[in-house]
Amino acid sequence: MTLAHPKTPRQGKDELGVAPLFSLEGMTIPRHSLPDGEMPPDVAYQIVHDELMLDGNARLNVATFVSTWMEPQAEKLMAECFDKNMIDKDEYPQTAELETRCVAILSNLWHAPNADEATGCSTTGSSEAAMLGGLALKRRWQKRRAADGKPGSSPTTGTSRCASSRWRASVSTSRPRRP
Amino acid sequence: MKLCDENTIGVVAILGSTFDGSYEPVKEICAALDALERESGLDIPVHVDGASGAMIAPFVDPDLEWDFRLPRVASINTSGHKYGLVYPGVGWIIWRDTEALPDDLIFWVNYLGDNMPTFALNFSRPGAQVVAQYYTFLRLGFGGFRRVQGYARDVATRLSARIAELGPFELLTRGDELPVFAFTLADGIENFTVFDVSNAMRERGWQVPAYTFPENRTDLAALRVVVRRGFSHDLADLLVHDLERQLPRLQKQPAPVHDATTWTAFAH
Repeated sequence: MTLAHPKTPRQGKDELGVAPLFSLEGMTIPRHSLPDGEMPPDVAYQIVHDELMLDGNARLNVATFVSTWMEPQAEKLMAECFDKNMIDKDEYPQTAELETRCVAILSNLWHAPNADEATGCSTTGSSEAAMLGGLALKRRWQKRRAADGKPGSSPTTGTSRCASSRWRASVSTSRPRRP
Repeated sequence: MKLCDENTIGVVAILGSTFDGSYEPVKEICAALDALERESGLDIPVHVDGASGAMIAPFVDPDLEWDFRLPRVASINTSGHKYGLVYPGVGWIIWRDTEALPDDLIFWVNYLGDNMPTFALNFSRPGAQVVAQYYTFLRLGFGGFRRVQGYARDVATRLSARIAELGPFELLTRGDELPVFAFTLADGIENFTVFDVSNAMRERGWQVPAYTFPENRTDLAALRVVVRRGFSHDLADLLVHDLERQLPRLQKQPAPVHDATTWTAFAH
């Protein structure tokens, strides 16, 4: 996530120009603080939409691994679920059920010995998922050490040189060692 | 292996590298750890970071053993929003069995009168991505995923071959594992850098990242192309055409303009 920080220069002047939208030339609103009052939703939409036109074109971006296209039907389903909180499993039991089915589908796909007992969950991305995997490894190791009467205070992990920065991010979980 | 000792909680194998798209040899890593266990008694589990490859290999490399078929693999993570074909942010972590996830890590939430197991670093997030993942599984099935990922790999290998034919470039990988490949400049090219190439491609709107490799190979600078759903043979042809058009100007410039120090760091 972008961390707003005084060391990062702010973009532009303190005022955000509203012109030339909707013949409002000359009108400005504050860029870094809340405007005094309300504005019509169409104007607010247009200001944000127009500013985002400066972002790169995802179709021409061969840098990212992240999906930049989905079918309209998927987008429609997503729009229908923006307001459902994953953690409210009691309120949204079918969303929770679909998560459970996805875990079973992946367990089968990856040849888990007993996919009927599929164990796993969704996360915000693969970094959080990798960290949860690391936490489970660390706890298993601590239990083994405790059972052997040995200290569990200096865990390490082994990774290759091409390990992504997420394994450095989990350094508080264990110390990565690379060849 | 020589870095593993009694304090090693696990070894992370990566399928595949974000630097060049290659798979790490998960089976061989497991075999080496099996040998270590025979010699020393150390039983070290493996976690596979399959951020990209765990949604590629099952469909286009079904015979590659990298998953729970290997008894030492305790857990696998992937990114639903990469080759899981969903918009950002969804990821998945799957454990081999209930033994691999210690019970005391599970957080039982008494939520609105029901007791639910959870395990996460954050709490509230929208259900949209998980629903979209399920839609994608339903919509494509195994055959659909095989078609989509197979096409991405066809585009990647054909595009890498065409870039190699241009002359000034040398492929580091071909895009035949992940549909991702890296290439660098051929020996003897001193008057422009991969960073200049990346900059020239931006003039037409292409974002082709240039970066230096990690420790032990920081002298190696490369360009990388990630082919994913929506990047067709047609777009690949346009990319090659634009690269071809930029080359005469780059080849005429007297000296490099950009190097790693004048370039915005790229991290993925």
